[in-house]
Amino acid sequence: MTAPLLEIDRLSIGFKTDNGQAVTVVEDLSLTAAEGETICIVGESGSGKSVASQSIMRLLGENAFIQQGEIRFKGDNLLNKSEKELRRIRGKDIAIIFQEPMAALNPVFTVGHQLREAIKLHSKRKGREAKEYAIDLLRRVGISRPESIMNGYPHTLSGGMKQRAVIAMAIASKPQLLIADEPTTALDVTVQAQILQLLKRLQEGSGTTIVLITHDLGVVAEMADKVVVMYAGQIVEQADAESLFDRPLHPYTQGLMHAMPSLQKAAGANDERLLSIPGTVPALNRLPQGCRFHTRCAYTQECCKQSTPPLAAAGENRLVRCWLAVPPTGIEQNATAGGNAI
Amino acid sequence: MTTEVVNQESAHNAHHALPIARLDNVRTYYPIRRGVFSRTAGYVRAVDGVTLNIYPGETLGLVGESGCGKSSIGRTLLRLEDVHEGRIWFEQEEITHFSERRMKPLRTQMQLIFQDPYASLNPRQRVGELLAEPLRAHRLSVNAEIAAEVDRLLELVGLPRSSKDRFPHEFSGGQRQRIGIARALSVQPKLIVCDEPVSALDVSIQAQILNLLQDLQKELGLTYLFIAHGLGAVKYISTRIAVMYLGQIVELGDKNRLFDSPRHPYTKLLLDANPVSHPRLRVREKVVLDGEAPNPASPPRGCRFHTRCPYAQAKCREQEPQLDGSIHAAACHYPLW
Repeated sequence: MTAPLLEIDRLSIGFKTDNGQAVTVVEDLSLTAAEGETICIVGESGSGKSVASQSIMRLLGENAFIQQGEIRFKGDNLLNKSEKELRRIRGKDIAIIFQEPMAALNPVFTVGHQLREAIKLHSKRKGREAKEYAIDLLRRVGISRPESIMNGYPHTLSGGMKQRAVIAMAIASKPQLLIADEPTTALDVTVQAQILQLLKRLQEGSGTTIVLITHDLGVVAEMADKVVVMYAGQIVEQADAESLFDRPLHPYTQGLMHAMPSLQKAAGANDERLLSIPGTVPALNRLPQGCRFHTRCAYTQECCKQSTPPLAAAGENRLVRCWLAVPPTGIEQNATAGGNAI
Repeated sequence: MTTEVVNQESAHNAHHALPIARLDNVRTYYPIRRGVFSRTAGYVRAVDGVTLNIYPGETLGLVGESGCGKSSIGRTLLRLEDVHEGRIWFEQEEITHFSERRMKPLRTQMQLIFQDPYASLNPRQRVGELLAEPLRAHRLSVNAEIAAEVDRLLELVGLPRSSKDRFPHEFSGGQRQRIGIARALSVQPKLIVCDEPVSALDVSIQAQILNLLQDLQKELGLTYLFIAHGLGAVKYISTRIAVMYLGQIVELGDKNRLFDSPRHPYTKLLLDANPVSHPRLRVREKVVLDGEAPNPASPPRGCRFHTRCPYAQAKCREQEPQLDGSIHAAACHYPLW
């Protein structure tokens, strides 16, 4: 069997804070993505989902450091690559798009110029050929008048059009892995639907693997094959999309699902109160002892306050980090192993 | 005006009271200035002929894509924008041309809650001071009572009393929104315009704030104009819903009827664009609303939606449809039902 396209193996990432301390923002994260798969990483702000995704491209700031683990792309550990080697991978084999498209667009160059740059950098196309390919790409991302967009500057485009232009740039080199960090969060639902449909179509055409980072369970329901739920820097649940929505196992996942006001709920059910999760996500430098969710959980028991539950198998292809789903008796050793990693 | 209100009234059997606020054919235009002499080169027609009643105790949800004018309606109602045309009533009194001095006592009656409470809270004031300020400005409490009133407000929005000695930056987004709500409540308003109050918050926190707004409404008998682009939140909290497109209301009705069987093609497509709630409900070839809304400075002739409408016919390109007067009203020549 060949190695999966992307393997993140027990990755921990720390941030140095101003007062010289270090906080772990992503802890012991493992996940694999096969070719053509869409993996969604869901979580609230501060869950570590964006840091995890940016680490794949080694885009983390100066104050971040890898504490342990490997990120293997086609079997190669990206963490051992030199900056020069990385530059060859970035944008070519792995592309990333952000919530804010202006993060990827230079305001002083036309869209066409930037798109041609991206094309020239990663392929042999030059001059006229590059221009034609650029127009073709814009058409593929659903821009109806690509010639006029080519000559326009980014600020003349709407948010949805900018995001399309960024996607065009990202797919220019036919990447095998596309990381999308909240790509539709800043957009209207109508434009979000267009962009999500576009990503699906592009994937069907090219077999690109997508790692999609989002806080929106609706986006997950639309897009995901596999789902990773993160809370306070850790994976708390991992499952294929249908099983997760059928039966969320972790109280946090359950809470998120209940808290989501849905259009498809029955009219009567709508008059009930939304079940909210009390409190807020704890600060990473003030994490509670034991299970990180125990301060907000409705099912907290004594063991939850004492020791961190391990991410343990719960049925076929499912993992969950909760003492309720995987009772502490008999797996004490795993618990201590998980606890030591802090 | 009275007969008009009464007519509308009979259409809304559910509402026996007179509207607490009313917009009558209101147009709010923003000038586009060009050249060295800043001459007016045209207008962005943010609100373009909107008639709307808000009844006491209800939550009227206002939805639409960004730039459709929904925030402008809220600001116009509160007299924070000047109207180009039309009239505004608050509690049976026309306030369209009230001076700032005459508006001041009314400002305690109508309040605004913003999307980003941080932008509306002075970072150098402690929370206690932030809450006391409106009480002093409007002379609502004598000094001796202010401290007790601040405590009561904090308790009302579910914040500990110790919060008053802290600064806004020490709070999380959800807690800051609670402070924003407490500040709006401090002057004991009747009507609150909530402009995207939960859009910037995490999902688990959104539910807390929506529940809080609902509890406060019950407890204090508040009326809300709830502006949002997140359809789920709007459906959850609203009594009636108005759908806006390019400065106009295209559909208005009871929330369950509107969500279950929309009449306007735009409403239908807007609802369809919302993500599914379970992977098994995915639609393979989903009909997606194409393109984006045209420029509100030069809206299309005829029905404004005809450029994107899958059912547009010749009449739609020529003649502007009006909102019919029914309980579940739609502005469409060929409604879905």
